[in-house]
Amino acid sequence: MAKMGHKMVTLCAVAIGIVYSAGYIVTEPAALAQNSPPAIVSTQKTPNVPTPDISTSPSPTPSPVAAQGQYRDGTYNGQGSNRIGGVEVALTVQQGKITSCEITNCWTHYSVSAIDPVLPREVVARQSGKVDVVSGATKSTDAFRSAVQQALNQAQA
Amino acid sequence: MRTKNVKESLVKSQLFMDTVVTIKIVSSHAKAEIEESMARAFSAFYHVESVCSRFNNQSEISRLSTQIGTPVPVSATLFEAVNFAWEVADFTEGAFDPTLGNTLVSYGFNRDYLTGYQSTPTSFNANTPVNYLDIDLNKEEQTILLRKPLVLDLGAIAKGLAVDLAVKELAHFEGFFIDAGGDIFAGGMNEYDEPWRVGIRHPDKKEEIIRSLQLTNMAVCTSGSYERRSPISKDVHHLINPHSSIPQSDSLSCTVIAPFAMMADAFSTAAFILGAKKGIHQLELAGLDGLLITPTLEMFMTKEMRRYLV
Repeated sequence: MAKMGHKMVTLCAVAIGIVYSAGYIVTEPAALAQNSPPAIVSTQKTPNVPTPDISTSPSPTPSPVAAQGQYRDGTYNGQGSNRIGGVEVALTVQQGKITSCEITNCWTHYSVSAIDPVLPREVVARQSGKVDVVSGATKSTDAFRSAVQQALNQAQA
Repeated sequence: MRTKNVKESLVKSQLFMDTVVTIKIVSSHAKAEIEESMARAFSAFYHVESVCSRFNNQSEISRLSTQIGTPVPVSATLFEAVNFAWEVADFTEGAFDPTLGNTLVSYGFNRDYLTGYQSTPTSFNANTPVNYLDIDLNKEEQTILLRKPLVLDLGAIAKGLAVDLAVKELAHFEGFFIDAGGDIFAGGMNEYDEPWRVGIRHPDKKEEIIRSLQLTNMAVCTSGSYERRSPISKDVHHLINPHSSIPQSDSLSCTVIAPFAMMADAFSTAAFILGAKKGIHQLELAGLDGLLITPTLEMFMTKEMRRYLV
């Protein structure tokens, strides 16, 4: 019985080891996202939003280039809100592909765990007193849809 | 309690795989080093998603699904993800099955969460019964052959794999957690130098936790029927029994603790589908611990699960 279980643990460890050593970091566009700061193309109504801090590279900021994809390279901010609160996102396009969508700010009028990612400890601590993080069924990103759409509209403009 | 010195920590959130991924690093290392590792950890999610997402026509898995009946050379990431999914399917006698994509598409689970575009894969065929035995993996050649038109869904496996890769980027810090929408890996100690406390969400009450766990260097994953609903039929959630093609209703949520997130996610899905008694038995066969909650809020646990409860 335990032997069968060990087989699955071993299979899993081997699989992850193979994928990791295949070196995804150096071959994927995501690596570019860390090495060259994306151009800030536009900021809309979000003066206090911090830009994603990937500014340590000494290479000059590239100007946005029309990529083969349908989106122009750059970082775009968007915000969305509904009756329970709001969110702000910074969406990064590299080589025409969406490479990341960082949540730069979120707030709620009352405690709503669906959109508490930025300060999980504070929100969770209020709810339960003493847990660091909550495991539950995977939430969808519906709460972020309008913010993401706003950022995408700028990337297409 | 908690009067000790609090260590420095950094928290960031990004959207990947239609969920919020939050990473927290507790460390006295230089900020630049912490940020660089965090960026690499997030790039693991980008990489796995770009290979394994069936919602994107350009992903490697979508391109594989367009070539039926011929062996297709694939990347290490796709081969290992499909291979592990196949092994779990075999181990659980099909309670977990990566060919469930067909059924999920027919219930309308086919929209890209960032762009909103709906895609119906060319290999979609709701009328042909398929299962994991229709996938042939060739280890020597690193090829995958699909015997019938089918839609591979690596949802659970892919997210777990990304978490496990991110763990490798963060393992040298004093403490960290990766929370991929409820799929969690808690490494080292929290900023109070204690093992991490992980709450299990109450399946009925969004704001409450039903139990707390204390652990370190372990993954925790919860499969629940209370978040994702079919846009076509509101009674339909995404945890569908591969044998009957209908949603499982004997469980509300199932939480599994495992050394890897890829295992925790696959087995929480399988145990959820199997229901309380068979599900818990399956976890014990796999050498894992877990807790399953039924619609009457009755709890079933593996024998060793209590050691994690706070």
